[in-house]
Amino acid sequence: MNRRVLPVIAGALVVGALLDVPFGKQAFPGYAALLGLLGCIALILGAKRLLAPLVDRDEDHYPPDTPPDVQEDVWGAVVDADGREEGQPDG
Amino acid sequence: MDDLFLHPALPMLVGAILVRVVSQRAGNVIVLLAPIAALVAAFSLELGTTVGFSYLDYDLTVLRADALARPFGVIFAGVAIIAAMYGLATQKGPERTAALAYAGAAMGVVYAGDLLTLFVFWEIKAIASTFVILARRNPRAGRAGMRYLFVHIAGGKLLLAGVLVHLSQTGSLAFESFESGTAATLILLSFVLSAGMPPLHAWLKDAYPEASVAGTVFLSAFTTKSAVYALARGFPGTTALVYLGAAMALYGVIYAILENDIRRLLSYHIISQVGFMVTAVGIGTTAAINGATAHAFAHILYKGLLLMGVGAVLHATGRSKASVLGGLANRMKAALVFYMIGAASISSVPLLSGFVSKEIIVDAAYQSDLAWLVLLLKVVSVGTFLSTGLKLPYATWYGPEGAGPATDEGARLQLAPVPMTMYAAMAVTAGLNLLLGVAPGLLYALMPEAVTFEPYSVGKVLEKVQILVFTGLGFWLLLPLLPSKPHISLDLDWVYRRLPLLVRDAVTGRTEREPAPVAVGAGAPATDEADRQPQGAWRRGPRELFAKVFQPTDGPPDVPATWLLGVVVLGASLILFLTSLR
Repeated sequence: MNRRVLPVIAGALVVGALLDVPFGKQAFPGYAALLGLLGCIALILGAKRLLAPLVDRDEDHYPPDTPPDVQEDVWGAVVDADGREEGQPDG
Repeated sequence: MDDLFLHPALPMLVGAILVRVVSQRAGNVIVLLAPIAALVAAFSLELGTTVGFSYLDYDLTVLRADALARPFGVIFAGVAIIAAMYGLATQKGPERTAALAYAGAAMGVVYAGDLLTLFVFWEIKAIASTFVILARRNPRAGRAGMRYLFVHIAGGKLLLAGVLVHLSQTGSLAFESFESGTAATLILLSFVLSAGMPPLHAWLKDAYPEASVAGTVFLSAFTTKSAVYALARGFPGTTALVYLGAAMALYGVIYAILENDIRRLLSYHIISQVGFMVTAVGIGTTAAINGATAHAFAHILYKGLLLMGVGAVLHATGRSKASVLGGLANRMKAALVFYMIGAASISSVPLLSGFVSKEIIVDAAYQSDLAWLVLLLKVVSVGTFLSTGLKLPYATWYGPEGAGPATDEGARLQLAPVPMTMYAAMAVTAGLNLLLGVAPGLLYALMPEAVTFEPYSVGKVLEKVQILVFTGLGFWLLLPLLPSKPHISLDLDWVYRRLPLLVRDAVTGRTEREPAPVAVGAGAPATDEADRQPQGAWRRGPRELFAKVFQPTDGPPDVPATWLLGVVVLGASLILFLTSLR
């Protein structure tokens, strides 16, 4: 957690609530500010603390996406995954 | 019948054939002219035009231009122009053919007045979009494309089954709002599959990020939005869609927070934003249908812009994972600026298109006394801004590197030049997003019903700005929790990517996770030895059966054999079609 931000948030909450008094149409002054702040925190914590432990995997979790078999092209030459014919030098 | 020549799908489908046979240079012209012609056709078709004829014993309406079809037709043609412009420097003939056929088929879906026409275009759309994915021509795209095809073929079969049941029960093929029943359920399933609704959504996040940079821009526009159109046409006011759409909106943003691949992150946001449209269709009031349509219109523009921005990064760096990007801001300023316009729009920042469309849906939910939905949609908007407006640009353009070196001296990433046509396409799209945000009347005039919603008032703008500012502060507060790590998040594509292997391993008693090497090499003796291990009969039986059913020893047929088979099937279906004509 970035504690330096806390005073900024506190100040902004006061300004937001004060602005809501003459102009806002919300349930109470500061409603939108709290919605944004708490919504953001809830989503990040929910995703990172609740969902991520269940679904987080290494990048090589799925088997490599290589073609399953050696294929022949129309003329009967064997073609490998990179589209090169067998025996042809790399590059 | 003359109006049939004004069918907006026609120029795209003709263009699709032409770009395959003419030179690349002539193709550059045709790939732009075809969607422009479609746009002109979409505007010049008078509302209420229908063209139909009778085929076998069925009355078909291949063209129905009404107030709901027009906004979708206009934006489909518009985004095809933009995406084609974006792909001018990178797309070759075959990819253009697939992309134009895909756009044309989506157009055919939108203007289809009967269920048979709908089904035919629906299937062309599925197949053409598969070729858009395959056109990246690497093994990952190939495998993802085939998985995508299987899912969509299954969805198409659900639609066909639903249409046949509907036909047998009502005797009508008209594509109107459905009564609930077996037929409606089957058709609804196929529509929500195409809309990318969990748990039928994994194809989207699996395949879209594997297409080429321009291909993904095409893909992001048509499949899900023609499903939204089909839902709005067939299932307005279906209460279940309110809940399913809301779940979809939330699901997309939560997975997006975890995602490392920036194009996959944006794909999750397609699911989330389409959730807004689906929930609006579920509400079903006039205002809500207007909202779904307007949001689809705006979504196509800003999502295209977002994918073009990160596509430019992928084109320049060859990378699309946030964990290996960063420090690009000083060197790709234009792409960052255009991307941020799209990000602001999807986050519904006032004066941009997303604000004037998304707020219609939120307002419609409010008018229908769905307070929980209003709150949920606002929280989802928070998550949208968090991922697309803050996390993604921070990780891609800044990251631990900061804004990056101003010159290539000491640069970490090699940057290839980004073609001017890509920037031009982004500039046009950014301009359109601003235009619709500043002058929402232009968007509202296209909607199926008169729009009474007034987006701009001091209270609404103040609320939105506060929500966004405090989302930013929350992001800043929790930034240490959001590092870009190389990882993936399991999603339901696990069911068809991993589960079959686990089942096979369990049945055959194989212990290692990877499939056995095909080539006989150094690792082979160990496998042979394992094969010679005595095994219980309970295990040998299913193993032999499994080997017979799933692993035929003779392997797949040779490519020439499948060609012959393909030609025979194609010829047979052509003959059947010709004999059915009178």
